[in-house]
Order: sequence, then structure tokens, then C-alpha cells
Amino acid sequence: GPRRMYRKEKSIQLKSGSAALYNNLSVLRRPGGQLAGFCTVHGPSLSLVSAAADGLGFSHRQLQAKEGGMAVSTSVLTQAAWCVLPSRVLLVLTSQKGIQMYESDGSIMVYWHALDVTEHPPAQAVFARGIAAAGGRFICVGTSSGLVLVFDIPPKGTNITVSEVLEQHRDAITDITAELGQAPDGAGDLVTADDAGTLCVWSTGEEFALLGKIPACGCTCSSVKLWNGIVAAGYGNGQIRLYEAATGLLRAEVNAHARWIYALDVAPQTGKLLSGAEDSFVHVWKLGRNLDTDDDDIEHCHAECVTDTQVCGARFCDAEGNSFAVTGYDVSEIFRYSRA
Amino acid sequence: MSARTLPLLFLNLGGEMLYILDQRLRAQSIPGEKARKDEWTDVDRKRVMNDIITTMFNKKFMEELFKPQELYSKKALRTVYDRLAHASIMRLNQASMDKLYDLMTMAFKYQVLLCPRPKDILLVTFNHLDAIKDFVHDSPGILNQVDETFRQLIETYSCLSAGEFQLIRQTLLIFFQDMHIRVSIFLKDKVQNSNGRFVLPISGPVPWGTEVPGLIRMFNRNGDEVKRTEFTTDGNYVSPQREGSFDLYGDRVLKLGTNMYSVSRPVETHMSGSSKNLASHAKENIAPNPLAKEELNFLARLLGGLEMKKPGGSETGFRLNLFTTDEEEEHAALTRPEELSYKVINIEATQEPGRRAELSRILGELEVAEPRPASSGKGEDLLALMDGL
Repeated sequence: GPRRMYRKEKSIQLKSGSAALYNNLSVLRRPGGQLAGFCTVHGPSLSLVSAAADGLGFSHRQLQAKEGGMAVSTSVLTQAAWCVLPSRVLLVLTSQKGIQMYESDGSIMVYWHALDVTEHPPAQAVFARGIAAAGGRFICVGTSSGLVLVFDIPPKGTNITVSEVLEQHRDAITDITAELGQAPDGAGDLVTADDAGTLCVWSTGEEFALLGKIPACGCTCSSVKLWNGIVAAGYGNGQIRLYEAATGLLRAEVNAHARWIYALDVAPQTGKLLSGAEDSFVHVWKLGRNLDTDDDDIEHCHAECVTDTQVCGARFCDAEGNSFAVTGYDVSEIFRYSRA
Repeated sequence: MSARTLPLLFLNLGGEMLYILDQRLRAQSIPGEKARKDEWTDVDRKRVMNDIITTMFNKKFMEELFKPQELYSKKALRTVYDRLAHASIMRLNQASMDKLYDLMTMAFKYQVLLCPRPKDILLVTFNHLDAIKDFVHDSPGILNQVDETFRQLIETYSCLSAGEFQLIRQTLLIFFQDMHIRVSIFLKDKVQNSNGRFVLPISGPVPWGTEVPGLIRMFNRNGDEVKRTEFTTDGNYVSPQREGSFDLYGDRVLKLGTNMYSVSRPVETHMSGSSKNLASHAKENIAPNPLAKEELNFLARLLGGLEMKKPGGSETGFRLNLFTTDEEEEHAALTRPEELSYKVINIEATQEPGRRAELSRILGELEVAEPRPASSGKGEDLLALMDGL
């Protein structure tokens, strides 16, 4: 039977249920490692939960999607994520209208970027989606037309500018990840994924360079993580695939879930991998490398069935992967689990 | 988000509405030769179904529907179904209409949630259309209209990618968020829990194109498989047997979207204090004019497609009650929780003068005689037959 490595803890109650959107949970840790907050999107609003510094209790606030020019229809948020840079932490919200950036506690909006509707063909959906801090200096955000906007973030203040627009994807961006561990030489430090399942591997800097493209295999890649030069990608057919970032070679294929994968996360200190899907399951895996054979390894550690819940967000709450949190469609709580 | 969601939402909700009305009319109908003037007969039932289906599949209306656009607000959409339900001689009180709409939306929410693949929403839609064609199988004119729409669905959706279908599904799930009304037939079949959440099975066939979970394969740099391991879970999945048909005719395989009602299975809902998260319902639609210009166009076309239903001779509008008794219906109207109120839009109160004149004119042409007072309405005399439901 399944190994019980983790046990369920007390949930955090929310005022509203999470939306059925990819990667719909973000977790912020303080520099010392303690938990600082959670956030998840629900239609036009974001639920922001902040942990008190003493570790006891949580406070709640809601942020709204910015309307944009015509205030006729409300905008829907597609995703929210904290971006941790050396000098500051920003909370980034993506929506049908554009990109909002706030101070990490959600108190002040420091930047607004409206999506250019004319860039998109008339019948296509318009939205931003896919958020990652990269290169110690940038925040990358994807769009429904396949563009990746690279924002240059100053150490403080609101003078944020678009430094580059990456144009390698032809389908809507689903997720973006920076290298979360140590990149081997030539492996690149950013991966972008799209609706068709194409993955692009980049090296970041003043100018971003495309290092390689991993072609799609007929399936959406909804979530992607990069750790120690290994790309872990979650797909609509329930598979997790591991690729070598430097070469684009497939190293492992896991029939992980019975439904569409919605979220992946990596614990950078240990290489634990977390996956959550519409099938109600959250799995914990262990990534590794066999030093003798130089083969990438993945091993199953724990299966958790979140009863009657289509998982839409899953994140580790600490760098070792000793605890994780989960959100589900239409469920107004954040489920929490920790090592037994 | 997805600009192609509205046709699927409209057709599937319409299909569920027809299932419920058909079941209710059958449950209340009397054989033709035995019926009094104020009692439902099979002929009446067929007429109501035909009238509604004809209106639903009106050519101009369908053209408007299939244009790429954002989903309408819950309020605007509810108003459309109000009009649709009254496209014939049948009348529904507010409480019955509310109940009808609750059932329709929870049923389709369930179907969207449980679709194995996002693309299977199309199969659910085809199931509804197959059933609608069966309702009008002896009216070739209406059958033709439905087939036309069928073809348009195939043309519009066949080439969409899995990712685009998932976006449609996500758009629908956002629309259905926070709705947890409990439906008797779902509770009895154990597909819904007493807290209003749907049961998600962790066994059965995996979606077409997905492998049964459990296998891990590892490859060396030459692409050779060098290691294979397995893991187990509480899930009990099997491979699917075959894929459903996306053609005009064919075995859809999927059961979601087929008629789950029959004369012996009731259409009940429970209103009593369920979810504490109903507050977000009230935060809907902050725009000053609840009907945007596009929505008015949409409704105008729908109303424009209605024929004048002036009753001739001894015909009058007949009331259909979705509850067991008139008292129950009245009680439901009085006790409906505020946060679940649909706040149906009164079209005549719209602020745009040009539009208002146009719609008033159309509405004026559709005047029908007031239904008979309740005491001699069709609902009351058939109460005995509704026993036990």
C-alpha cells in the first residue's frame, strides 16, 4: 500500500474557493525559512493569507484584479505568485487585462502593465499567465499569445521597465520557472512552457539567450520546474517527464496522475518534487542522480488523496520539503501536510 | 476567458432544462381523451417542447451565439432562460423558475467537473443534442435546425487543441464557482455529498490518451530504457475501452449529459443553510448597467425569434409547478436565501433609451393573456398524482 510519509495538519480557512487554474497557490518563506504567507486566486480577487511573525495565527486580505480601460466587465485573475529577488520581494498578479505588481504584503501596487489587446487575433482569449523571478534581477511573465515579458526590477522603487520580450512560443504560456538549485555548466537558468507542450530553455542576463527547445508531444505542459539542471514538466495527460536542461534529452517518464496535472513544486535543499492534479491526488517524489551511471532518477515517496477535490495548487512550505500545502477548485481552505 | 464558451454553456444548460421540463410535464400529464380542458396532455407536452426547441435553435439567434465573445453574467443568462421557458403556453412562477435554473446549473456543473478530458465537454454537448433531436424526431423542420447547430458545433470545435478545451472548461468552472445547491437525485445517487460538494471517484477508466498511473521509466542518454519501477495508490484505475464519437451520429460512450431524469425520479433541491461561502455570490457584477450592449443584442435576437404566442379560442397559458404543491412553491419563494437570489433583470428598466424602445416593441408584440387563477390551474388538480415524489 502507499507509504505514509506525511500526515494531514489543520487547514487554513479561506473566505472563498480557489479557481480551477494552473499553479493556483503560491507560498512565501521568510529569509530565515519560516512561513510568511499563502495566496490563491478566485475569479476577480486574490486571497492573501499572512502568517504572524510569532508563527501563531494568520491574517487575511483580498486584492482585486485591476479593471483596465473599459470598466464594463470585471477581469479574472489567472495566477498570483511571490517573486523573491535579492533586494526585494514582489507579489505579482496576472489577469485578462494585464500584470499587477505589489509589495510582498499586498499593501501597495508598485507597477501596472496593461496587455496590448491589438497584439492578439480577434477571437482569441487575452490574458497573462506564468510568473517567475529570474537572474537575480528580472521578473518574467507570459501571455496568451506566447510572448514572455521580461521586467527589469530595480532594488527599490517603482521604476520597473520591460527590458525584453521573448518570442519563441506560438501558444499561450502556461508556466515559467527559474533554476531553483544549482545549474550545471551550460544548462540554462530559466524554462518557459506553453499550451502545446513546448518547453524553451534560456540563459538570463542583459539579453536572454535561447539555449534549446524541447518539442511538444501532443500534450499541454501546465506546470514546470527546474532543479540542478533537470526540467520536471507536468502534462495534461497526467504524465511527469524529466528532461536534461542542457541537452533536451528525456531522462524519465512517469505515469503519475489519472487526470490533468495542475501544479508542480520542488524543494531545493533535497530535490523533493510535488505534483497535484485534477484526479484528487498529490504525490511527493524524490529527484536524484545516480553518480555511477550518470542517470537521473525519480522515486515515489508519498501519495495523498485529497477527497473529492480537483487540486489546482500545490507547494512545499519549506526548503527541505518537510511540509506542503494544497488548494482545490471551489474549496475554501488551504490543506496542509507535514512529515509524520 | 475563452471566447468560445458561450455556445457550450447555452446548449448544455438548455438541454438540461428540456430534460427537467419533459419529466415534469410527463409526470403531470393525463391521457388525451380523459383530460379536462385545464389538464396537461401529451399533445400539450409535445407542443411546449417543440416551441422551446424551435426558439432555442433559431437561426439568427445561433449566429449571434457562436460569435466569439465573453460569457454573459449569471443574471443576463438567467433572463435568457426565463424567456426560453416561456416561449410556449407554459408558465412558471418565480420559485419554480428559480428551482429549474438551480437544477440546470448544478447538473451541468457536475458534468463539466467530471469530464475525463476537457474535450469531452463536446461529447456532453452532443449527448444533449442527440436527446433534443429525439424530442423532435417527428418534426423534420425543427430537426433540421438542430442538425444545423450540430454541424456548426463540429465546425467550430473539432479543431481546437486540448489546451484550448481546458481553457473553455476553466472558464465554465469559474462561472459555476461557489454553487453548492444540493440536488435530491444527486444525493440519492451518491454523486453529491450532504455539504453540496460533488463526489470525485478515484476508480474507473482513465481518460482517452492517459495511461493508468503507476509506472516510472528511466532512460539513459542514448534513449534506452534502463530502469522501470512501479508505485501504488488507493486509486483503482483501468484503461478505457474506446473513444466516443465526435461525428454527427455515433456512440458517445460517455454517459454525462444523457437524461438522468425519468418519471419516477423527482427533481428536488434543498435550500437549507449549506455553504458559508455564499458571500461571494453577492459580489457579482459591479457595473452600473447590468446589461452590456452585447447582451442586449443577444436577448433582442432571442426575443425577435419568438413567434407570437397569442392563444386562440379556449387556450390559455398553463402553469407548471416544479414543486409538489402550490404551498410548497410559495414557501420556497418566501424563504429563498438572499444570496441565492438570481435578481432577474427587468428588461424594460434598462437605461439605454434606444435599446429600450426596441425591446419594448418586441415585448409588446408578444403579449399573451394572463394565466388562469391558480385555483383552476393545471398544477393543483394533479397533486394526487405527484404523491411520494
